[in-house]
Amino acid sequence: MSWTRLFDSGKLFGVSCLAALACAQPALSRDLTVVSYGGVTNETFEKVWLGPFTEETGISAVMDTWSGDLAKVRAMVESGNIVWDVMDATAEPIEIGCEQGLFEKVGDDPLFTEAGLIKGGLTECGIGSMTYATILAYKNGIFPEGPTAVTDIFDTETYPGKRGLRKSPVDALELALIADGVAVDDVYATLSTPEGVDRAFAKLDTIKDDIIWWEASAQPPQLLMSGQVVMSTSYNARAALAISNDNADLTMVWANNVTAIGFFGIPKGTENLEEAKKFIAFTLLPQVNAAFSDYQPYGPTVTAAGAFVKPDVLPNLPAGHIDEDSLVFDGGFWATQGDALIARFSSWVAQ
Amino acid sequence: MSYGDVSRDITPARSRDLRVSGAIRKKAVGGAAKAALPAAPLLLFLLLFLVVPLLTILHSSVSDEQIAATLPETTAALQSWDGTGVPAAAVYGTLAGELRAADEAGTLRRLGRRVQYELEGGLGILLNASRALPEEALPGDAQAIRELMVGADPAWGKPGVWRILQRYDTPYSSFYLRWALGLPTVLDADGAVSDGPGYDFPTIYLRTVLISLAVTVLTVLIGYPVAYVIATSAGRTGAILLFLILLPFWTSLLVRVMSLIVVLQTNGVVNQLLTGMGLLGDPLSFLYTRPATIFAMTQIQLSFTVLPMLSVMRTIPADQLRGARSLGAGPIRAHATIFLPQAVPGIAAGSLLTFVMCLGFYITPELVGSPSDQMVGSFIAQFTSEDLNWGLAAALSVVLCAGAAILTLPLARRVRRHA
Amino acid sequence: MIGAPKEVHVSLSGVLKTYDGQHYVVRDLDLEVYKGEFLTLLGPSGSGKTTTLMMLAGFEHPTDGAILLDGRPVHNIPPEKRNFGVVFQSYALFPHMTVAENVGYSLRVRGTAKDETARRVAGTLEAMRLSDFAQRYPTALSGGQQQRVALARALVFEPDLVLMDEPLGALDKRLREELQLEIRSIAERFGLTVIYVTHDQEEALTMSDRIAVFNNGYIQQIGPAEEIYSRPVNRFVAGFVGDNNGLDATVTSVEGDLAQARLRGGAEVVARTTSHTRAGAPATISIRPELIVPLKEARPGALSGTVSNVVYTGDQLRIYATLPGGDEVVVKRPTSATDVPTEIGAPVHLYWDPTSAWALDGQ
Repeated sequence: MSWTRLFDSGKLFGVSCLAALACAQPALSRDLTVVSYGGVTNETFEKVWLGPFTEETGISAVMDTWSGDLAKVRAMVESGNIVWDVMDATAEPIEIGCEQGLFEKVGDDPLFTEAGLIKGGLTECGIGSMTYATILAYKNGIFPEGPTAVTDIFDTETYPGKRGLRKSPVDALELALIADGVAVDDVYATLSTPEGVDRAFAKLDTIKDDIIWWEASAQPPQLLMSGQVVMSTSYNARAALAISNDNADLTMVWANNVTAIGFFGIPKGTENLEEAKKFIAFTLLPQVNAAFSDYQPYGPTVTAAGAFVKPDVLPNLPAGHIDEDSLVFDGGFWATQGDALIARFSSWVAQ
Repeated sequence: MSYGDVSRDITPARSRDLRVSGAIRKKAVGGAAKAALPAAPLLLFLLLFLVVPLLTILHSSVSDEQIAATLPETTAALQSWDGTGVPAAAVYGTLAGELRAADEAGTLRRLGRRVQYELEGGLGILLNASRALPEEALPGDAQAIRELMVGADPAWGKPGVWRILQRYDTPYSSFYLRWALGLPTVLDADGAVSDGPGYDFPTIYLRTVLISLAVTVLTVLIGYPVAYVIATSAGRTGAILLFLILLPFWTSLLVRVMSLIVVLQTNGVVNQLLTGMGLLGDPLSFLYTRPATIFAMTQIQLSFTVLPMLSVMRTIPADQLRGARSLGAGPIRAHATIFLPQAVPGIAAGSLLTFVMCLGFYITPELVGSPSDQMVGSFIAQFTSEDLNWGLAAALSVVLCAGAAILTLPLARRVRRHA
Repeated sequence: MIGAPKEVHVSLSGVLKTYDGQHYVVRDLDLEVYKGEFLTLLGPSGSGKTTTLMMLAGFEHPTDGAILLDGRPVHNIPPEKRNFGVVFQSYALFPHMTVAENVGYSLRVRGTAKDETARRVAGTLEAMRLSDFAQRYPTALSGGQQQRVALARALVFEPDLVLMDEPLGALDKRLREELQLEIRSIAERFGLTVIYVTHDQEEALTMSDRIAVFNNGYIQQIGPAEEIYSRPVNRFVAGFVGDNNGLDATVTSVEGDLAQARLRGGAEVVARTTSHTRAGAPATISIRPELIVPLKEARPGALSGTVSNVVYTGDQLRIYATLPGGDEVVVKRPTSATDVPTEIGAPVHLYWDPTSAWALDGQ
């Protein structure tokens, strides 16, 4: 959306009217609207972030739900009828949307550059909202000595049996390369070359017959408990909740985990831009940032927040395990190369 | 006994009077049209919800307007290019303008995806070019644009991408159909033909047919004796068996598949039974295998095979078997020479129904099979709802329909002849 | 058959059949069938006649009792080993085989040589006047032709016994009469022993050497057609076989083989006694309509009544007369007969020879 087109369509008049209104009234014409994927996550948002934020600033804020479909954001931005101000999303839609000009490019704002975000926690349009990780979970009592790294999923000799893996090239290709000896820091560079992709698929080939693929994040604990698999990749939150809430007899393995960061993005052109930035900055305050993990095993995105994470929760969070050997997920890479890799993966997995 | 028989026996001469005059015939035809009137809602329904969608799918399978619609001037300009080297600098300028427009319209990514089907790394090549263009006004000098683009991605200095764009100045192509038939060609940046765009569809079709065949054969083997017992036993046995056959219709397919998962899983009923009886040392992985897929589908399809068989078997009078017995044939021989040949149309109809239905299965294989047991339906679903590659989904559907017609026509003809 | 040596071919002794253990379909059946005989099992539906035939054919098992063929028990032999020809009411022709294939089926399953099979099939078809239809399928034939194919099929292997279950039931009257004679003549020509089931008493009378009348699972009477007709042993047989007048009466006295009985209207009639006749007991006086002479003038021994209806049936007149007690009597006279009261309401005097009426079991 270029400025010339705004002039052409005469929308400037509307924008200036709105600006005038905003100046005249100290209160917002529309509540600050934060969206996430719904369910328990939204409740936690309200409890730990929205409520305290309103208390702190007097700015009222509400939650809404979206499905991750960028088309809705595009429609909003293009029509100028923006009703969402802060969006919590995974890396990919934020990266793609950023490239398409759907999100405000606020990555260089000192509010965020100086907030002490973890490595990879700040991009052109995205500000880290929470961290989660792909870890390995295994059922206790099967192996005399259980796997010690996520990449042990490729070691069928030491750990025979069916293993669960998400039916997606995301994580699978990265883990394959690490298992094949690629240094964690070189994973995405390697995966950007055709040879690297071939290498990753070749590694996956070695365990293909032993894999039971999962798609929904609730599946891994279920597959493990029903004995379908002896080990499985899983999101840390799912495995942790299965252990704590359902007494699942599982062990989580963190070495070589793939840590991913969820991001906040601000739809381009929102009238509540300042308030949105203010809200995001609020969630980055170490204590506030850490509070989320009191309710759900999602990790903080600010280094200093580690001190405020409850000690009994910490082992279940990526924050407790960001080491030399963990890989930080690169949403930008998947935004550009994803289509081709997904197509090749779908084809490969069906052979 | 009809009057026709009597006239043949006794008064053949009367048949001369039975010729029908033209006027009466016209009346009769009008009457037939009137009689078909109650079927009009059905016909209308079929037209709206079967014929029209089928034609739409046929159209989608050859409709391929993404490139021509997004880059009309570029594709037009490329028609005069001889395909060697790279096109003139002016074409770069045209393309840059159209890429910029596509970026603003939000169609660039979709265009990139389409190009990528036939060009290795096509999406990246287009995105790189678009990103390399300056935010504000484009340089007036096409040569400068060319340098920008080649600098952003060396592919722009090679013929591959241009050859793909050159092909699509019309909104129709056979690309998706060729892809669905496993005959696509993919270019690399240099314009050399490399591996296909993925998905070995001939293998997937073959797998679909083999699984469907296996299920069909199993349902016939299991269903035939059941249908025979139901058809020939008048009393309660038949009623109870029929009830059992119809029972699955009362529960949703998903519930049945889920219950099968519970039964087949490693800690499931089957394994516990087998290990409990000492027949198995360690539990076996039945779930997520080809046999699990086939058994689940067989369970689902059994009623569909049995019911047509049953309806035909019910028309075979019990007296015929008795007749054969009285003429000296033992029970097995009587069955094989008298009952079975007459049950063939039912077997054919039941098999046909099950086979054709199986060809379209996708949820069941996804739930109980491994990814390498997925049938073509899964891919149609995937391309329709996940990859949004409707052209390929439509092409796969068209190939599936055509294949099913070719495979089943001889059988269908057999059913009709007997009926 | 009269005068021929009576050699027992098939016998049923003490045969019982029940499907549910409570109701008998056939009870205490004793029956002997002579070699070369045409025996008809006649009775209403549900009387047990078809079940009896099915037990003979081997499709049903007797619950108790024995079936013997030439003295050998056959009730445990499966149908295919009995060598009995069966003709079904539905014909049971095999629709996927031609006429010739249908007829040759029994020979093929017996492993008869091909040319021998062809020869015998051709011979049988010839005898049944079916040679022109050999290559047709049964559905292309008329009902009568199909029935002849069924018969040819049941005869070609020279069965020891031919069983026919209402074989003409599905045909119209004229064709039925034609085929009755044809079957009868074939049976004679081939010297067949035939057990024939029908519910049509006329058909039974036309075709049979002997008739066994079934009711409620019992044989009510067995004997030559003439005997069944003219000397019925009970009310059921009298009523089921042929037209009959059954008048309720009370026996007043018995003298020798004649009984005196009083009708409801008070009139006294004389009839021959049967095993049921007892003085003072109720009886049914049975007299065939064609044996009654309707008179305009009164005469000793004649019953007086009034003409209530007259029906013309072509070859005869049926005169319905009402007696004083309300009983209705039907009288059959040839159309050619004169001196018959035909005016409705006119007085009529009914006379019959006392030896042609029977005092059967009463109600």
